[in-house]
Amino acid sequence: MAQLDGDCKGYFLMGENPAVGSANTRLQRLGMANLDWLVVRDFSLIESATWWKDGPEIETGELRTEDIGTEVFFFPAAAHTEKSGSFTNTNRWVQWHHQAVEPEGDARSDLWFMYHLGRRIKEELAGSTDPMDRPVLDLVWDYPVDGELDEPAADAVLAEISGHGPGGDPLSAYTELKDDGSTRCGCWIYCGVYADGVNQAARKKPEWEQDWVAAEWAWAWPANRRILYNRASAAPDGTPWSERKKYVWWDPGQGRWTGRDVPDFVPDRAPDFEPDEDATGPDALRGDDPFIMQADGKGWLYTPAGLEDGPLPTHYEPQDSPFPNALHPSTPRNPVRHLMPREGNRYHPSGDEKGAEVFPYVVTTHRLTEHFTAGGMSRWSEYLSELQPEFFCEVSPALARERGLENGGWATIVTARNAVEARVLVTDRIRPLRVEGRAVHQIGLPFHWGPNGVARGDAANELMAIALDPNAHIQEDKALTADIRAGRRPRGPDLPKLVAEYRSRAGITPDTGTEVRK
Amino acid sequence: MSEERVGFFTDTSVCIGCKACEVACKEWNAIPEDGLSLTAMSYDNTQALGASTWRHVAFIEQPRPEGRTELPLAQGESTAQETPVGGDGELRWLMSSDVCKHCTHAACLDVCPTGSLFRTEFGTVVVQEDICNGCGYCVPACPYGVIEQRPHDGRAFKCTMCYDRLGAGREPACAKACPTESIQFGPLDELRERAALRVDQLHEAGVTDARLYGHDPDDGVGGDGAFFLLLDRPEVYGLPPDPVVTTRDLPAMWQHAGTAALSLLGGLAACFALTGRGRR
Amino acid sequence: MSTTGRAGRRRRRGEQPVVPRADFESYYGRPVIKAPSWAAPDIAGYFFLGGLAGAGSVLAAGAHLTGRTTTATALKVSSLAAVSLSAAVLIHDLGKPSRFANMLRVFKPTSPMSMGSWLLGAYGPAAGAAAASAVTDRSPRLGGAATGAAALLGPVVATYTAVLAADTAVPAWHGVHRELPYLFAASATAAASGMALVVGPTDENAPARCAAGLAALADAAVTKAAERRLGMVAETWREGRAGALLRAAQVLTAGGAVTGALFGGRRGGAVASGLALLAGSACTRFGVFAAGIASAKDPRYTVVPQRERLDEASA
Repeated sequence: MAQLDGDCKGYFLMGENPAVGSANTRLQRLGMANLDWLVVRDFSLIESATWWKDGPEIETGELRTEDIGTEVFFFPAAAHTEKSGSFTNTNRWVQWHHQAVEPEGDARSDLWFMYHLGRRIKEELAGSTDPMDRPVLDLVWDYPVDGELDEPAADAVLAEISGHGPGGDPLSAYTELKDDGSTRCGCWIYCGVYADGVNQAARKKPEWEQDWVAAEWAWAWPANRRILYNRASAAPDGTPWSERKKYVWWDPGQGRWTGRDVPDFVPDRAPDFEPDEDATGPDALRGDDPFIMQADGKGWLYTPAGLEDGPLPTHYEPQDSPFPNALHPSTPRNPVRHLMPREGNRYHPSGDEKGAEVFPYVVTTHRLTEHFTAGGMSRWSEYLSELQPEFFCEVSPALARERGLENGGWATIVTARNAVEARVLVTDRIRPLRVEGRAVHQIGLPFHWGPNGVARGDAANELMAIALDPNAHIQEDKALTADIRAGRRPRGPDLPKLVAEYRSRAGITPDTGTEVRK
Repeated sequence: MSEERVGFFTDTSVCIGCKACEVACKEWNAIPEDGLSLTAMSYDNTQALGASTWRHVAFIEQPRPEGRTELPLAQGESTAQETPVGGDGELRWLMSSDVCKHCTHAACLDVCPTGSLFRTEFGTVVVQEDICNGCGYCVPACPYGVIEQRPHDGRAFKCTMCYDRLGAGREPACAKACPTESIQFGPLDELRERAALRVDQLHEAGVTDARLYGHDPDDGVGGDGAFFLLLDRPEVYGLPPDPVVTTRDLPAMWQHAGTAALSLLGGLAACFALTGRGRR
Repeated sequence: MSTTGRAGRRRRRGEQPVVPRADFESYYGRPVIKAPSWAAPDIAGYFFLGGLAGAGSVLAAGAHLTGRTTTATALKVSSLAAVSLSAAVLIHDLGKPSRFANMLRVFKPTSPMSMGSWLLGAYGPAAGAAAASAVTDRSPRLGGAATGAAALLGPVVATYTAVLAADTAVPAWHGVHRELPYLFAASATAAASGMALVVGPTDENAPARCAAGLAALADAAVTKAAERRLGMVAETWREGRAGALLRAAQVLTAGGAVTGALFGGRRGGAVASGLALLAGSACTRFGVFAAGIASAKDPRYTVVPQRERLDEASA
C-alpha cells in the first residue's frame, strides 16, 4: 500500500515472489510498478522479476512497459548446495550445510550479495562528514573472504553472531553476556552456537553414537536446549513425574539440576527455593516455577497484554463469507481486522447482504506436495513440474453439474479483485459445506502457479483481497467467496471488464465489507 | 546368481502419494521429463510406467463406506443432515507406487533377440542400453505393460532396480527416498516373510481388503521380484489380475508352428500330386 | 471424478455381443499392457511378405519338380523379392539399420525374433540362389539344391511369424497361440497361390488353383476356431478396423479361390483370382495385427479373461 501511495521507493526480494504468493497479486504488481527500484534475487526469472514486460497487466493493457518507472535489478542466487550456511527449523535446530559446488555463472549467495553491497556502500561513503552516514562508516564490516568469488566466510559470521567475551574468547552461553559493554553478541538466542571456537551447528554425530535426545546433532537455540521449559518434566519437588520419561530433575547430592537435556532453569535453584519478598526479575522465581520467561514463572493459557485482539479467541466469519455470524449476529467479522479498502482491493458483500449471491461459492487455497510456496524452487524443475503441471480447481461432482464443469476442462473463477482460469478436477474429496441448513459449494485452489517457468498457470492469489488479522497481520487467503463458470477467462482488456461487471452486479462500493458492526 | 536375490515390497497401505520415489528415480537415473499435461486423474499426472517413468504412483478415489467405523463428529441433527447434495459419501484415497516386477520368469528377457535384457547377479532384470537394438519385442511381451521404447530413440528402457547402486551396496533410490517405508528393499525371502506378517496385522486390525500381489512363486510369472500389498483388486490399480509369462506356452507354439509348416508342405505336395506333371 | 472407469464404456460400432459386456474394473480405463509400437505396414506387411515368400518357395519347388518351369522361375523371383522386402521393412522398423547386427549376437530359442533372424539368414540366401540360378540358367545343381532348401525352410518362414505374434501378452494374439500358425499357413498359401495365378501361365496353374481352394477352406475354418477360442476377446477380431479387414479377408480369399477354380483357366480369371487371393492374405495379416493392437489398448481384454480364470480357480 505504501508502494501504491508512493511512500515506499525501493524493494528487496530475496527468495520471495509476491506476484504469485501474496494476496491480491495484481495490486502487488501495481505496487512494484510504482517503485523507483526493485531488486530480485532468485534462482530463476520469477514473476516478481518480469511483470514489467510480460505480466498479466501488460496483457490487459493496464500497464505499458514504457510507462513503468521502476528500475528492476535481477541477481541470480546461489542454491543451498552452492554455499555454506545454516538452516533453522521449527524445532529450533540450527543445522549447518557445507558448500558442495561453486555457483554457476553470475549466481552468488545472499551472504555474498549483502557483504559486498555493504562494502561498496562504505567505499562510496568514505570521507563523508554527513552525520547521517556516520553509523554506516562506523560499522565493522571485515569478514574474511575466500576463493575466486570472494565469498565471505559464513563461519565467521556465525562466530560473530554467537559472540565474544572481553578477551575475544568465544562465549558459551547467553548467561555469560554482560550489560557493561565487555561482551559482544549478534543475537542472544544464538549465543554459544560457536562455543569453544567450534561450529556447534555443524556437528553431525550419528544417532547410534549418542542418546535419543541427540544433543550433539547440530545445535538448538537457546543454549543447545532441545525442549524449552524442561523443568516442567519434573514434579514441583524436583523428581521426575515419570521414571520412564524422566528428562530433567534435581540432583540433591550435587545441589544442581541435571538430566538428559540442558536444564531450562537456574542451575542451582532448589525445588523448595522461595524468593525474598523484595526480589525482582528472575531472582523472584520460586524453585517450582518452571516457566522462567514469564514474569510469574507460571504457564499461561493466554496473554493478558500486547494483543490487538484478545485475550481469548472467538468466532468471526472471514472477510468475504456466504454466511452471517451465528455466534455474534451483530458483529459478523472481527471488528479490529486490518482492512485496506482501495481501488483494486474491493471486498464482497457477505452473508445476507444484497449482492452476496453474485459470489455464491467458497474458495479455499491449499498447497501440493509437488510444489513449494510461490513455485520459484519447483515450477522451474522439470521433475516436479511434470508431477503437477497445471493450475487446477477442485470441485465436487454436484458443483460440476450445477455449473456445467467437465473433469479436465477449463473453469474461470471470479472475485471482485480479478478472475483466473484453471483446469477442472472433479472429485468427491471436495464436499459442500452445510451451515445453518444451507449447503454451499467449495472450490479448492492450489496457489503455486504463475505465468513463468516450466509449469505455468494463473495465480490463485489474484482472487484474494488484502485483509489482515489484527494480531499477526497474516493475509486472509484461506477462505473467501467467488463465482465459478465453465470455460477459459477472457483475454486482454476483456478481463478487467468482466471483473468490473461482477463488481457492479454485486453492487460493490468502496464501503462494502468495511463496516465494524452491522 | 552370485548374490542373494533382492527385491521390493511395496506396502501401499502406508503410501502417502508424495511421489518422492518418482523424483528420486528420475534424478538418480537421469531420466528425461516426459510430459507436462494435467490428466485430471486425481493427483496422478504420470499416468503409467514407461520408458521414462520407472516408478509411478497411482491415485484412486473410491466411494467406500462399508467396513469402517465412523465416529459422529457432533451430536444431534448434523448426522441426520448428511443427505448428499451430490454423491459425497465416505471415500478412500488409495495410493500405490508401481514399478517393474522383475519377474522370476520374465517374458521381456525371454523374447529379447539381442541378449540386451539379462538377469543380474541380484536376480533382477536389466536392459543394456548399448545392446538394445530397438526391435520393441519386449514391449508387448510384458504382461504388466512396464517396459517401453523411448520415442525418437527406439530403444527400450525400464527400472534397473538401480543396478549401479546395488553393485555399490546401496539400496535403490526410490526405497531410499520413501519417507513412510511403503517401498521396502531387501532380500526377497525376508521381504516375503515381512509382507505375510503385515497382511496378518492388517487383517487383525479389520482391514480385510489387504492382500498380497505378486508374492507367490507359483503364480504365472513364478513370483515377482517386486511385489505389493494392495487394498483392492489388482485391476483397480491398473495391474493384471492373473498375469502369465507368455513364453510358458512357447513350446506348444513352436510345435503348432511346426505342424502348420508341415501341413503347408503336405497340402501343397498333395495339390501337385493331384494335378500331376506338366502343363495343366 | 469418473474414478476408476468401471464399465460404462461407449458402445462401439459393429456386431453387438449377445451377452452384456462383463462388468470390470480398471485404472481410469487405461490399458494394462503396452501395445507394440510396431508400424502396421512394417510388421503386418512383413507377416504377409514372409508368408508369400515362404509358401511361394514350396510352390516354386513343386512347379520346378513337375516341369512347370515358367511358374517355378516366376515364384522363385517373387519369393526373393518378398524376402528382400521383408528384410527391408524389418530393418526400417528398428529405426537405425546398423542396429540389425545386434540380432545376430545370440542364438536364442526362447525368442521367436532371434530364431526368425537366423531363419531368414538361412532362407534368404537359399531363395536368392534359387532365383539367381533359375533366371540365369546357370548352376542348375546348386539351383536345385537351393530350391529344395528354400522349400523346406519356406513353410517355417511362413508360420513362425504366428509364434512371433502369439509369444506376447497381447490377448488377441496370445489367446490363439495354437490356431495362429495354421491361419498364417493358410494365408501364406493363399498369397503364394495367388501370386502363382497372377504370374504363371494358365496352363501351369492347376496346382495353384487347388492350393487356393485348400487355403480358403483352411482360412475359414481356422478363423472360426480362433474366434471360438478367444471368447470375449473375439470382439477384437470382429469389431472395428480389424473386423472390417478380417471380413474382407474372408470374402477376398473365398472369392479368389472360387474365381480361380471356375475361371482360372483363362488369363483374366486367373489374374483376378490371384489378385483377390493376395489381397485376402494381406487383409488377414493386417486384420490380425489390428485386432492385437485393439486388444492391447483396451484393459477389458486383459482384465476380464484373467479375472474369469481366477474366479473359476477359486470357485
